[in-house]
Amino acid sequence: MPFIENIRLAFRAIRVNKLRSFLTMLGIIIGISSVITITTIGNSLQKTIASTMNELAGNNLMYGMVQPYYPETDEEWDAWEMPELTENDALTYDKLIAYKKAFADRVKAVFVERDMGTAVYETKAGKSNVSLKGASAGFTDIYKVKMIAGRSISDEDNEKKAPVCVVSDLFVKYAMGLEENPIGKKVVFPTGEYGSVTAYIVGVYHYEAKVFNDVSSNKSIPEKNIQTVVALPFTYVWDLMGFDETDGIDFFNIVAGEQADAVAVKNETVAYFDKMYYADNENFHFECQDMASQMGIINNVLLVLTLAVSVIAGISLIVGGVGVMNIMLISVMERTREIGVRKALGAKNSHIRAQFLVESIILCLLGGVIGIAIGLFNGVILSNVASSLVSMYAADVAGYLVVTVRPSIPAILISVGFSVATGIAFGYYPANRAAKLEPIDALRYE
Amino acid sequence: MDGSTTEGKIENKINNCSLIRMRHIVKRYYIGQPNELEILHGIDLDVEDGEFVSIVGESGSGKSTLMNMIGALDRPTEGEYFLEGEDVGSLSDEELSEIRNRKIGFVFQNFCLISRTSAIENVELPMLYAGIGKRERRRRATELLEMVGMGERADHNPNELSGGQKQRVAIARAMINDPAIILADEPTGALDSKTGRMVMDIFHELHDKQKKTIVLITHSRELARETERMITIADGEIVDG
Repeated sequence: MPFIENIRLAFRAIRVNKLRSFLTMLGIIIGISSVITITTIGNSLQKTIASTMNELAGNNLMYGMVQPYYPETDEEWDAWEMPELTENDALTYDKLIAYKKAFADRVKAVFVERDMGTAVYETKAGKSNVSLKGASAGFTDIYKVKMIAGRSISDEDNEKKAPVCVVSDLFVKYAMGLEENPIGKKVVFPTGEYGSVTAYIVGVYHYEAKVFNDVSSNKSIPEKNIQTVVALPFTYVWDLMGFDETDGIDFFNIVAGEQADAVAVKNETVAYFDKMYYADNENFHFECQDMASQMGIINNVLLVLTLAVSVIAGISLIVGGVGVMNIMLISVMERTREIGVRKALGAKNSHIRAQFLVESIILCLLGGVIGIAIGLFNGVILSNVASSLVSMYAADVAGYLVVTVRPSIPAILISVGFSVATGIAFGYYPANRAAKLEPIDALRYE
Repeated sequence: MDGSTTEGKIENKINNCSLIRMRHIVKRYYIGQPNELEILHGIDLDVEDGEFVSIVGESGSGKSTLMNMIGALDRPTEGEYFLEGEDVGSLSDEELSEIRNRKIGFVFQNFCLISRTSAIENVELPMLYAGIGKRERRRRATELLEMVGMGERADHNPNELSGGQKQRVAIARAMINDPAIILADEPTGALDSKTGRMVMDIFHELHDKQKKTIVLITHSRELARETERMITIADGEIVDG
């Protein structure tokens, strides 16, 4: 008996009892659709985070910082006071430069910045709000901006505390009113607190709204009024603001080299700083966090969530499977005479078993396919709703968001597999019962 | 045809056996010890190739049980049954299925067509179980439906057919694997006399023209008299024939 014949018979039997078949499938539909919904959302979230991270700096981005040793017990917490950061404890620009040199082969950029506040720059051509930022080399790597003229802030600028700056193309166009190359031009920014800051332009970068958190305002504020960043050497700003060595750097960014193993770089960085500066330090130690492990945490949360839903779905599948078994037993009983006739005509036990087993599998598979369709629909809708909620309520970060809706292919394949497995597991007993019927008993059945 | 069947045929020829050869067939049902019900008390029966015989008996006489034995639907408790020289009593369930499939064509009182399945698909069914390809099935089924005058209604489902039409489809189905015997159990029982007559005419035609061996089980002596030989069964024993 060809397999295709069994499939035809199965569809015929399902069609005859449409409502009954649908109700039987419901458990499987619910189970599979919930798994597909959650895995679609999870997978989309994961992909969204991954591509957003990639947009930012990729998995190679890390943060280095100095942390105190926090107490471990509640009693200790009560008595604990934050220890004072001394000159020895603090991270300094020089320490970072030494680190950068030591890790030159594995680290693409070591970046530290210091905001100096805002200033209003005014010429005959126009007026512009700028935010002044002290930056080490690596400004373009971290902010992901492109230089369109000149160069970015360099290590040398920082070493010399050179009065130079990098400005945006918008600044050049609207505040300075220049069409030509502004490199070498002197600009003076009047800041309230720190007096006038003078710098010579060494480079122009292309302004990108999403990089500077201006997505929401971008639409309403005319381009010429947008506040842009002016980057100056970190050490220059540090001096202007009156800081010295004891004023530590809170944290800095590390971008591991593209070929380097980010996790290894992270561990080596921690080891380096602890050995160099915190070996005998009772109060402080060096800590490094990387995007990869942050993503790991999110992935773990998603995994736990997926597993939890899968367990519930598993229960739903079992309940659905019992429903299938029940309906198959009824179906076998209803068709006892038919089974008898088939046997009289020469059907072997294996023919009858295959007929009912295929019917049960098709029933479950159909439920699984409907479940997958519903799950995909739900998942895509919910993922899109989530991303539009993010862009509505967190507009400042939405610019970084690269929304990706991607159903989980393995989840779909596993669901199909599970549907078939349910059909076999719960269809075998009724099918076998049908197969083992005695032909005369079956023929005589009323 | 498998090896055993070919062997059976050869043996049949060598021994010059009957097509059906039953010796001392006893059938007992155990309705929980010590109650046992003996339906057949040692039946001896021979049917030759090409014969048209009838088995007549009142209800409860054991003729249905005997039919089940002949049709390989059931095994005798005691005794020997050779069909075309093959010892049916020693066969497994699978082998009995094959015997029914290839050597026996059943025609039932209540037609026993598979519902929601077209006439032609019903006729094809035994060939499907025999593993014969679609094209050959269609060809043979169409031929047989035309033979019984049902060619026009090949695509109709059983619920669209009258009793006589159903029985004609059933006869076509019984013939599809060119069986050794047509085993008809009260084939006119559910039909009016006119359509019953038509069905009987088909049997006569099969017997006369195709030399089919036909075993007709009936309670009607009138019908039985039409056949070449009438075997009367009463209380589980053959009393005449």
